[in-house]
Parts: sequence; C-alpha cells; structure tokens
Amino acid sequence: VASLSPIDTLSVTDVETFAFAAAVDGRLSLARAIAGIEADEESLETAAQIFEATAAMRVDELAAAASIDAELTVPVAATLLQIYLYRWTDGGSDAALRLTNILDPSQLPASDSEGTLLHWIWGCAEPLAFFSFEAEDISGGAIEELDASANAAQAFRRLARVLWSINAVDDALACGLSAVSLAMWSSEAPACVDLALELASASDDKSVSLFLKARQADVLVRRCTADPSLATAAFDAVESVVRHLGDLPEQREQLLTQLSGSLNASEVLAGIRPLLRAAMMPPSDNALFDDTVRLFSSARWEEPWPRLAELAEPISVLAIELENARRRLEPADDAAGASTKWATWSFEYPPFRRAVPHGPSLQRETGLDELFLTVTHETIHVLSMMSGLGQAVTALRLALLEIEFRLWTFLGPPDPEAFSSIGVAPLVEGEVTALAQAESALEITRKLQILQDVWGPWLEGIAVFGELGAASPDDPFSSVVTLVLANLMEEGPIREAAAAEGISVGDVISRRQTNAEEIFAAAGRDQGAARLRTMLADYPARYFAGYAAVRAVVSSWRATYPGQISAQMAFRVLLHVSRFGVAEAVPDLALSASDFRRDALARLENWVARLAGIPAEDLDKFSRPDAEAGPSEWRDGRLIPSRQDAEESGEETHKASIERCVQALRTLSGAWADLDRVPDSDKETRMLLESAAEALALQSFDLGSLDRDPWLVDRMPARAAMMPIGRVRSPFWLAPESRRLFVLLRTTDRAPGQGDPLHQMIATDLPEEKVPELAQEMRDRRDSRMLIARVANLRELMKADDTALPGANYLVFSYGNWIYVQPGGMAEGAGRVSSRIEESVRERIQPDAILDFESDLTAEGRAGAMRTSSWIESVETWTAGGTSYDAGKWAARVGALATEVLDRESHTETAAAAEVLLSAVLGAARPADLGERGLELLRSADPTWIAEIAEQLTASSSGPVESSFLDAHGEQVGERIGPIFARSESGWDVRPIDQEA
Amino acid sequence: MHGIAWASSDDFESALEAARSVEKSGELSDLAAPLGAAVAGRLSEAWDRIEAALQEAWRKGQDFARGTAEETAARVQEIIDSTGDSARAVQERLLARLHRYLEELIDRTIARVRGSITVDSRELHLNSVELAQSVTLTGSMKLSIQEALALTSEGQLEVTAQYRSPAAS
Repeated sequence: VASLSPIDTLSVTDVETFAFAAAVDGRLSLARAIAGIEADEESLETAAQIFEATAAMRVDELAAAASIDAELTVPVAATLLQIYLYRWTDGGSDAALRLTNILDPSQLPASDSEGTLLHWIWGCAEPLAFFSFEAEDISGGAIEELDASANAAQAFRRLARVLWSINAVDDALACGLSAVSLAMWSSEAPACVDLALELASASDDKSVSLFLKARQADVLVRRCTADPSLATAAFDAVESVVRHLGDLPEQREQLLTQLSGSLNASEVLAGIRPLLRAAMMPPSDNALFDDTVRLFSSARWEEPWPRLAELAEPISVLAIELENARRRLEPADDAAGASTKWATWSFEYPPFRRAVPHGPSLQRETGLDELFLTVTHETIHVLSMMSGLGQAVTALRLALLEIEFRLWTFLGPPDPEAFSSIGVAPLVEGEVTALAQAESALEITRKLQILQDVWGPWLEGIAVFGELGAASPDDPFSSVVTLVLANLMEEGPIREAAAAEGISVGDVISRRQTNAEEIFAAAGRDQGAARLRTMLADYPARYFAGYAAVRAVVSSWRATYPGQISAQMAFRVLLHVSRFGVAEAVPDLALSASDFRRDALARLENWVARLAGIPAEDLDKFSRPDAEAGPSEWRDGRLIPSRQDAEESGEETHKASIERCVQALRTLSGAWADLDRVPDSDKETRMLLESAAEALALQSFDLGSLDRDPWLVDRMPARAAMMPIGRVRSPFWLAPESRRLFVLLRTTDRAPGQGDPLHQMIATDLPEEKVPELAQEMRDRRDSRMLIARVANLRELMKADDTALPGANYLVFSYGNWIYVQPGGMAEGAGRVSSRIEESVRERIQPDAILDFESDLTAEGRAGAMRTSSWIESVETWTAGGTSYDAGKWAARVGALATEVLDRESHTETAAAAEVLLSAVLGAARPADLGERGLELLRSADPTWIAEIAEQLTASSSGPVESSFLDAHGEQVGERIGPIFARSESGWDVRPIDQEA
Repeated sequence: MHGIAWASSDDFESALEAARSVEKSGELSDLAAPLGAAVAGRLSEAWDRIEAALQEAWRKGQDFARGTAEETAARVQEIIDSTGDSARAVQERLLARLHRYLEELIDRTIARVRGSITVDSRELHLNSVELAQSVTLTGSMKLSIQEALALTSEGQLEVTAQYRSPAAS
C-alpha cells in the first residue's frame, strides 16, 4: 500500500506538498485498481499502438483506434488509462480527461464485472485530474481552495466500495486511504474515514486504524465549530483516539499535542479537554491518583482484579463528569410521545432513547408509573405487528424492495454510494418501461399506507385498553406484556434469592411477577383515568374510535358470556384475535390502491362485527392462559387449532408469506390492472397501459431462483420478537486479564434543565472466547464506546430455559461485529444465553445490510415516491426501444399518485376507519364530528364532564359499575357524544355492538 | 371620558379558547402513546374545573363568583397536589392559562371602546385608554382564580378613554 499515512495529514504545514502527495497517492491507488483488470499481451500491444497513433496523428483515441483498425476493449481501455497515469505530469492528465470523456466503458465488449470496475475507475480519473491541476496552482494558498477535493474523495470512496464488493480488499483499502487524503478537511472527510476504517479492519497493520481514527478526530474537531451537529461525533472520536494511544507509544506525544492544539481552538468541545489533560499528566507520588488517571484515559486495563476493584469507583467519578459534558452536546429530544414504528418493528420511548435501565435504576425512576403504562402500550403494538397484518405489511415491503432491485438494473452499474445511502434506484430518463415499474411501486406504497392507517384506530384501541387491563395481581395468569415489565427490574439472581430464603425458584418468580403486576395495577389506578382523558380529548382522532370499538366488543362478550369477563380475560382475547385472526381482514394485495382501500374498510367492518359475536365457548378458552388452549387461530369469528408442529407451522407461514409477496407484485399486472385508471385516457395511453400490464405479468417472483435471500420474508418481521427497550452508546474498558468488561452505563436520562443523567459503572464477566474477540475488534475499530441495549424477548413459545422465558430481558453489549448477550431481569445471573437467542438478538441489534437497507430506505416507500415525482417532472419525451410515445397523461397520473403518497395530511383512511368503528358502536346515532373531537364534545355541556366520563370508562373496563353521575347525566352525555353508555342490571358499561343492525 | 366597555359572549369564548391553546399537546406519529399523559390529563381536569366556574360566573354573575371561588380553588389545588413531583409545573401552566385568559378577555373588551366619537360635529380620535379597575395577576392560584371569576362575572371593564382631535396630534 503506497498510500499516504493518515498521520501525515495531521501535520500539514505545507499545503502544496500535501496536495501534491495526495494526488500522487490517488494515481498509485488508481493504477493498483486498474491492475486488477486482466490484460493479455495482445491488449497491451493494442493499447500501445493506440497511444502512439493518438500522439502521432493528434486525434483522440477513438479516431486513432479506427485508423489502425484496433478494437477498443475493456483491457485495452484500462491499459491506455494506465499509460496516462504513468505519464501524468507529461500530458497524461489531459489525455486521461479526454479518454474518460469520449469513451463509456460500459459500451465496451468485456465481461460484466470488468466493465463495471472500469466504469468506476473511469469515474475517478476526471476529479483526480482536476484535483491535480488545482494542487499545482495552490502555491501559498489554503486547503479550502482545493474545490475538487470533495469530488475526488467521493469518486475514490465509490471505487473502494466496488473493489471491496469484489473482494479486492487491499486495492479497496488503498483507494479508501486515497479518498481520505484527497478529502482534506472537506465535508466528505468523515464518510471517507468511516469507510477506510471498515476496510482497514482487514489489514494486518493495526496502526492504520488508529491513524485513521486520529484523522477522523482532527476533521470532526475542525468541522464541528461550524456544524454543531458533529459535536458528539467529534467528542467520541477524540475520546477514542486518546484511549487507544497506548498502542502507538512512539507517536503518542505527537498525536496528543496535535489533538490538544485543535481542541484548544474549539470551545464547543471544551468538555473533552479533561481527558486530554489526564492522558498528558506527568506521574505524581500518589499511586492511586496516577493509576486512576492513567486507566481513565486508556481503553485496556492490564491491572489485576483486586486493584481494578479499588480503582473502578474513582475512575467512574471522572468518567461520569466526562459523560455529563458529552450529554450537554447531544441534541434535544422534543418527541411528544413514545412511538412504535412499522419500519423498524420496534418502539422508541424517549427516556430510553439514550439510556438503558439496569439493576435497581428503574425503581429509582420518578416516573415509574408512566413508564410501566407506556411500555405496556407500546409492547402491545409490537405484539400486534407479529400478526397477519405484519405478514401483509412484510409482503408489501418486500414487493417494494424487489421493484427497487429491478429498477437498479435499468441504468448500468449501480452506484454503490447511492445504493447504500439513497436506496431507491435512479430512473432512465423518459423510459416508459420504468414508468410502469415506478407506478407499481407507488400503488404498493399506497396500499401499505392504507393498511397501516385503516388498522391504526383498532390497534390504538387495544393498546389503550391493555394499559389498564393487561394484567392484575388478582388474575392467575401472566401476560407476556407484564412479564416484560417484571423483567425490567433486576432484584438479584432468582436462584440465589430462592436459596437464601429457602423457597423455590418458582415462588421467587411468582413473587416478583406479582410485585410487577401490583406496580402496574397501581399505576393504572392512579393514572388510568387521567391518561384516558388526555387520549380521548386531546388526541381523539387517534384514540377515540378504536377505544370505543374495543370497549363495545368487550361489552358484547359480557352480554353473552355466562361468567364474568374481567379486563384481563378480555385483553387476552383481544390481543390473540388481533394477532392470529386478522389475516382474513386483509384484502388481496394485488388489488388497485382504490379497490384495496374500499375492501380494507369493508373487511374491517365485517371483522369487528364477527368479533363481537365470538361465542362463549371460544371466549372460555381465554379464561385460562393461552397455552392451555394450544396454538390456535381465528377463522370466520371462530377459534380453531393451528398446526401443533412448530416446524410445519413455520413452513406453512413461510409459504403463505411468499404467496402474499407474489400477490403484491401482481399489482397493475395482467387482469389486475385497471386500464381506466388514467383520466381522459386516449387510445395510445390505453395501449401503453395494456402493454405495461402485460409486461408486468411476465415478471416472476421466486426468492429461490432469484439471487435473493429466501428467508428475508421471515427474518424481516421476526425482528419484532426481540424488542429493544432502551439503547445508549457507552464508554467502556476491557480488562483482558480478569476477563472483565467495564461499562459506564447511563441508566436514566434527563431532559435538559432537569439535572444530570444517572450513571452506573458495571463490570461484566465475559466468557473466555469473548475477550480476544473483543480485543481484536477494538484494534480494528478504535471506538471507545459500544452500544448497550436492553432487549425483551416476545417469543412466547421459546421456553427452553430460564433465559428464554417470554418477556425475558437481555442486556446486550454490541461493538462492531462483536456481541455479548447477558441475561437480565429475572434471568439475571442465569449463565449464558443459548446461541439461538444470541443470533436472534444479533439480528435485531446488528442487522445485516439488507435488513438495515430495507427498514431505513425503502420500508415506507417515500424515497421512491420523491424519486419518481422529480423524475416525471424532468422528462420531456417518453421512449421505449428507441420509439417515442405520448405517455404524458399516464405520467401525469403517476405523478399525482406520487404526490398522494407523499402528502400524508391528505390521507383519509384513519378517519374513514374511525367512522367504520364508530358506526359499529353507535350506528347512525352519533354526532358527525365524534371521531374528530371525541370527549371534547362534552365541553359545551360542562367541561368537568370530560374527566368524569374518562373516570367512568376507566372504572367500567373491568365490568359494569354503578354510577350516580351517569344515573343523573347519562342522557345528556348521550346527546353530546352519542349513546355510548348503556345500563344493564349489573350497572353501567359501554353499549354492546348491535349485531342485528 | 369615563365609561364601561362590555365583553361579548364571543370575547368570552375566544378568551377561553386562547387559554386552552397555551402549551397545546405535541403531535404524535406512528402507533404512539403521549408522554406525560397523566399529568396532562390532570392539568386539563383542573383547567376544566376553572373553565366550568368561569362559565357559571359569566352566566350567573357576581354573587355566584364570590361563592364559588373558594370551592373551585380548593378543588383545583387538590388536583394539582395529586400530580406529585409535577405539581409546581402544573400550577405554573394553569396560571399561564389563567393569565392568557385574562389578557385575551381584557384585550378584546378594550377593543370595543370606540375608536372615534363626534362631539359638536367635531370628530375626536381615541388617544389612550386606561383601566379604571385593577386586575391583579399573581403567582397565587387562589387569587388568580378569584380575579378571573370576578372580572368574568362583571362582564365589563371600567375604562377612561381620552380622545383628541386629529389636528391636536
């Protein structure tokens, strides 16, 4: 590797020399890459002839090749560029510019892969030439004057990725390092260093990664004054360099002095200076002080355990100070709520976005009640995603992904940068066939939005109901939801507690579970009505209809069931039917978006009606825990057993999921295409639509035969089962000798102005093989922080051991590709988790590229809609196979569809679904704006009735209640919000659904 | 000129609306649960108590207002106390609503003072308006409720308006 050492870039005193060196380095890296294209003797000879003819005849290479009747192939073109790189300062740079402008390598005869490689090599030549020209003229100027720096860096970074993808790792590293050098201090520099660090992990020379980290720190420190959003990244980079400098003893002083100089110029990062001071502090005569300061500023601790035990506390004092300084650099979190996202199959709870509850920290939380209720609410959402609905969402998203993959093939070699950062494919200008694919993607996106919006009110309804009814200490059966809560708290290993108290492990588990349920129930009693008031009066469009419908369904059951239906029993049925009974309420995914909308709403209406009519014998199965009823699902409102064999059942689900994908990809194809969808369609437009429908019908989808991951369809929704609760990037230290990992964990976050967050220094015993693995990964990555996450297991069937119980919590330590999963909650101290659990957690915390790509870039379809919208606006003439077509009307329809996808404000499906649900509850006897205004409608009668009704709804969720308020005002309440309450012999409850109506 | 400016029902409703819109709930996205929903619910409940008293005072007048102020303040304080650690923040937010209510009501009522009058065929333009009665906005919940109820039950403001001829300005 003949690249510049990144350490040189830290001491640039002579811009001219540095820029010249970076340009030379770029040429060398490019030459290495070209050497990867095999050229035989004949090609070399031909290239030499063309070169000579070009020079002699003073023509370009194409003309020269034609004049000597030579064929320009990929190896010949590559060799020509190699010659120009060699003669760079002797007219070579001009010649390289000319060559790369007149010749498109993708048009040359060669194998696909070599043509693609040359395409990206070509892309480097032009910016490198411009950079060289600027470098020659920079004499006495500033680095910022090198305008070509960013373009050149970007081009080399792309080439590095391409080389990496074909396993030319050394060449990729050379280009990656060239990108870093060429980037100077431009905005491209951080991304270039990131990539180079990844590439350097394969290098035997581990100092490269540390030099790169130093370069990253330098660039970020310089840039963060102007761009404060880089401040935490800069802080982390400096911290990482300082803590790893022990591996570069010879350059340590020099690097520290340079970093210190950069930092002194940046007030933004004043908080990190104590770490540098600690690293530079001369020894004193106080050993405890010296060791504390030395270990605080080192990533690896070699001291024996007794000494570390002594030092851990003073080190944590310093580390907490540093952590608080970093917290002040983090951006404010102004989220109004916790939210569960379909795109990631998980929820985010703002207090745990940058903190992980651990040990007794949760009990110290001031808002424990709200935390329990909110985590319950969001866990119910995540569980609801593990359903027939989730299967349909997966199919639509996989179809979207498939279309994007197909679109990427339209436009030559895909740009690896754009592919990984934008995701959606660029479209060929005016290509009619791409219009068909783009329209299909938009229709699928709309169906995805419709499905999620139509089911939103119902899903919110069961989550609100579950907040109060998921579990009770009086109910003998635990819910997976409250098992998650019980496992949030660490009260010491259960086996040790059982031995100490002379009771069984089961008794300890049961006591802790009861304790959690008591806290949960008390939270519901204390906060339930007030929370319900906020939801039904402040956010009625989101919560009112769904909650009313859920309550009406439960009342319908209470009207026919011979015994009492508690809130807990009702919740068990509701959650079960919402997970294993919704598949039949999802329309055919091949329908057009408009038909899909109609059908989805009609099916929701029928589904709720059938739900209200579930017979007592099926309800009865939920008076006991689900497990006794065995695996079961719902069809036509009846509970039927599912396949008992887990493997067969999994296979069936896999096949059904694939079938759903195939269904989604039939969108706008063959008979599924609505040929009248374009307004004012003419003959030519109709002909184009017919052709598009035929062409789309010819495409097959078979994960097995395509170069695709056949298990993606299962892996995508399976992520939901490992539910992250909190995550934070924490500083850590590895003590290899004692096999301990020390982490300063932020256990409680605080909003700005509400004091500093709380931290805890934890020491984790690592299994023997994990220690060298982590040490190796640290040398590759040089980060001083690792991701710590708390994850809950929602898979109810995995009951293999203590660590895999439903609701079990794990504390996950994740660093690059290294992961360690430690049982938490009630399984604390239960040894190691199984490899199956570790792999499931890894899939969630360290997802592979395709899972990340999908959830970040294509899952919501918005990026595709934006791409298509601007593409259509830019097209003047539509063509296919060289023929022009008048596709203007069709394109206008596709453009309008893209706008519709992007304009979420204009979507009416949630409101329409709310109307369907309210109609089921109240029929025509409801105010027109009930769904929109909810309990606010009571304000005109008496504002205090709003809270009063929230109280009545809360009180009656466990069954009918006596209510003097409703006795006195029930009728007037009904006049304002419809006859939502009804009185039976047992008391007041929500009115059951009138099934006859 | 010393006179009375009357508040209309619209002014009263607008003032209530303005008070309710102080620190409105934030937007939620995806499948969500609002943060601080219980505290927000109690804050709203307390406000609803005040609003109900204000409505009664508007309809029934000064005698009612005097009688109900104590009881309303006590009930509101009870609700505030039930919010535990958030009690101070809740009290501040309620006071902000009350102050916003009074501001809006006073502004709207004063806006009813005629902009010009004609005296002996000379048109005089409004130069300044002074409130003849004092409106005390304090940090005390009880006093603020009393003040708001008193002003609402009167439904009017005593004002001193000064007019001058355009030539004088």
